[in-house]
Amino acid sequence: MDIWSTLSDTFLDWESMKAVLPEMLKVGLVNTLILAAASVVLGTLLGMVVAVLALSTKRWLRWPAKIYTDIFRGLPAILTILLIGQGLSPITRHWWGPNPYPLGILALSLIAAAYIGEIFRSGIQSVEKGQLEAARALGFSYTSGMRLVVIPQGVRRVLPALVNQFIALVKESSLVYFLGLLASQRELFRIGQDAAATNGNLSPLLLAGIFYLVITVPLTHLVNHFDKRLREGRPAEPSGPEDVKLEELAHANH
Amino acid sequence: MRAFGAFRRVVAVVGAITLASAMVACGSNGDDAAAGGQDLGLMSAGTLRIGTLTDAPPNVYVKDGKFTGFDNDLITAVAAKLNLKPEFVGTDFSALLSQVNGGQFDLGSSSITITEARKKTVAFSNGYDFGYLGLNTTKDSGITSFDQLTGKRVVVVQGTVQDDYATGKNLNPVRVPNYNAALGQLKAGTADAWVSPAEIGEKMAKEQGGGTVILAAKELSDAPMAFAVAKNNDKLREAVNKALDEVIADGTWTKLVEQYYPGRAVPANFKPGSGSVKFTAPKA
Repeated sequence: MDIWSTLSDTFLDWESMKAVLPEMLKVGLVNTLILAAASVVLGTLLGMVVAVLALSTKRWLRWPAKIYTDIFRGLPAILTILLIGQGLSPITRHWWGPNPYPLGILALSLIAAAYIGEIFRSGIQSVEKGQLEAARALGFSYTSGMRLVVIPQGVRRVLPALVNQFIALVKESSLVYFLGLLASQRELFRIGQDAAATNGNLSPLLLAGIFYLVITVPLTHLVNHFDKRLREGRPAEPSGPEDVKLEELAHANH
Repeated sequence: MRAFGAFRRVVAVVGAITLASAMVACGSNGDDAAAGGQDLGLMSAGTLRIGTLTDAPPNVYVKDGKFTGFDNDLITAVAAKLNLKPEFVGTDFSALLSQVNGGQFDLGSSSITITEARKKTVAFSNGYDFGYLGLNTTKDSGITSFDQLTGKRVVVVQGTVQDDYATGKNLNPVRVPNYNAALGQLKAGTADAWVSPAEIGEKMAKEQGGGTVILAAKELSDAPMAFAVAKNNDKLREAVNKALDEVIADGTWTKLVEQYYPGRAVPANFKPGSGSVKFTAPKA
């Protein structure tokens, strides 16, 4: 009973949650979404480049990709964020001022690209060799065979693994705090942490945690939905099962 | 295939929105950065960009989306004397000093105690506050003074003067990232004592201690606290020192001390600012 009351005092104080809720919504959620979404997009694009390079037959393309992956996957995220955010800011300050967001997004994307590159590589490599050979036999070049035949199949196979990485990014976005944020730039975790420091308990942090779930759970289910579609196709429409059959037969006749 | 096409569309739309909003976010406060700063060597003329912490009340913290606390209210008054607009940025203490010297902030404000080691990274203004080391512990720990800490599990916030103190005394302290975590260790019973900055330790024990955490003892720390500026920026340091004397002379300093540290006695040998400026002693 005593443990329960300590727990509920520390984590379930509705008053302090209510006090921080507007700021969480208007500032924290927006900033977390900006940081996470921007680095998901940039990280996925870079990750694809890394994967393609790592699969290249040419050593001078393959090696830089391997070294890149080793370094950015191996360093603690905080260190990478400080290295990029603090290391490059003397240059970038002349372009967009002291705002840490662009560099924070870049650092998060570089970290994500190392992981996502490996995810894409495993997906692409899992596509049967015959697919590329068949494409080549039909007259595709290596590049267009990869781009149009192999990579699309490979990417579909790794969607769930990709979501893991996206979720990790949503959570890691809180580390951008180390670069220094204006009050209006703080993301979910930081607002929870600051409110916890002034209000005296950890309930605002729990509230931040709930917001993280609000982002990550629908994301998981959305991608699972696409994943299922890609594996099983569109659900059969009750109105025209015969058309489908006909179509299949027509194909079989070819 | 259609499902995949739909997925791609969603990705494309989300991507476009993100990039657009990120660009808006980037553009918003970068406009005036290249302007250079008068003769104070500021990052942007007319604005004093201040690195601080968001979670260390009553010294520096964020309340209702605004930076406040003793140190930040004081530097706001100093900036007003210099006709500068203060702009606060919250960061982590472990990164603060290098960010000040690296030019990300014009000045650091976070009850920074002057130490020899820190002087290698940054330059300091004149001192504006003194600090007591606090000994926070739990009611039933039986600890009442600093000499009883040997062999106990002591927690400190990493990189602080309290960390230096505990490490210097060979207490082999547990280091945590912030004050909240230190208090949490005491509450959870995973540490016996927390060597705190006394003002923070006292406030947190009273308001967040849950009836079990107390401030058992205080000890005057000899080094004063000051604002940090980049080592190569003597002009800013001198301007801040001058304005600091002005806000001490006009009573702002005294008012803020009474507001944030009510009842705290000023030690006889402590003189705020340059030392030659007259000040009204805060009511003890």
